[in-house]
Amino acid sequence: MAVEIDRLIHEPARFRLMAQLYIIESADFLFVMSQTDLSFGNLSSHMTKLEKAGYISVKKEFVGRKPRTMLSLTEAGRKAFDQYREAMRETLETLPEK
Amino acid sequence: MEQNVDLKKLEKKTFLATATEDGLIDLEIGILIFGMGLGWFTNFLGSPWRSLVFPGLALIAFFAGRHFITTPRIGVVKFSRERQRKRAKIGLVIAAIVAVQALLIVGIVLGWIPPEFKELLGRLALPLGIGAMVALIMAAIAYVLGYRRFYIYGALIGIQIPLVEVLDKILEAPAADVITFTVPATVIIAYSLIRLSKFMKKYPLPEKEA
Repeated sequence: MAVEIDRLIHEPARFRLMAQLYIIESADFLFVMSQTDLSFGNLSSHMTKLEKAGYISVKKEFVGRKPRTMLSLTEAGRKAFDQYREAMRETLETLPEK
Repeated sequence: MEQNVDLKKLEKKTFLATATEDGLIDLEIGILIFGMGLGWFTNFLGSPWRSLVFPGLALIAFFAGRHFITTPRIGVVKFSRERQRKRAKIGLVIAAIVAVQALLIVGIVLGWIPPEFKELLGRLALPLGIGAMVALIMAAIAYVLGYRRFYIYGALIGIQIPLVEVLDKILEAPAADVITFTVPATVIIAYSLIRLSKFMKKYPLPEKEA
């Protein structure tokens, strides 16, 4: 039986974003941008897609007068990422040896 | 394949990027060691102010650097509970080492430790003890947080403190302090500034704010 791969996470930029958020509790937009090497526009668009899927939570807050966008993985996102990794592992294990 | 990423390695890399990549922690240590060598320069301030000058400078350099250079470039992150627990572990290790050292000092003062033992260690007892304490604290930080350079710094400071006592007998004051501390401190400060400039090049100020 073929293992189902979550295509939303499978896209390399979104995978990088999910992996980055998986290993921390939360981070602001700038931090995620600096660690994933994604441009402002790219990160914004992937962030919106993952937020719509309920995988990440985006909170806007103010620190003094400066706006800050905090990103974190939701419980559903964490679970989806775990399942994706498991599915990938299973898929790769079924491949024949070289 | 990108999807084969090792999450543990990624977490460590991310943590080190925020903790040591800017070189500010090295700068802080460098200034502290520098202060040990040039402490005599601030004698005119009197006690206890003279001992606060260089630690104060080191703290100001660290926090100002984090506030004005690091955070505007890489942003803000809150690490997982596991990482926070590791930080708490460091606090416990440092507290335990300091407590053992304090107990030894109290033991010497109150006479719990036999006088023969004190004589055996002679003049080197205190500097050896302080050197060992600093080296142990640095090694604990290096081990738990993965800052490998701290092993070198720990060994360096651990050797320097008793070495100054030995050199004091050969050279005239304050030459021993200056030679023993300022030379390695200058190397560490130069290294920290190279790291800082590399960091600023790697993470330029963002043009657009989120």
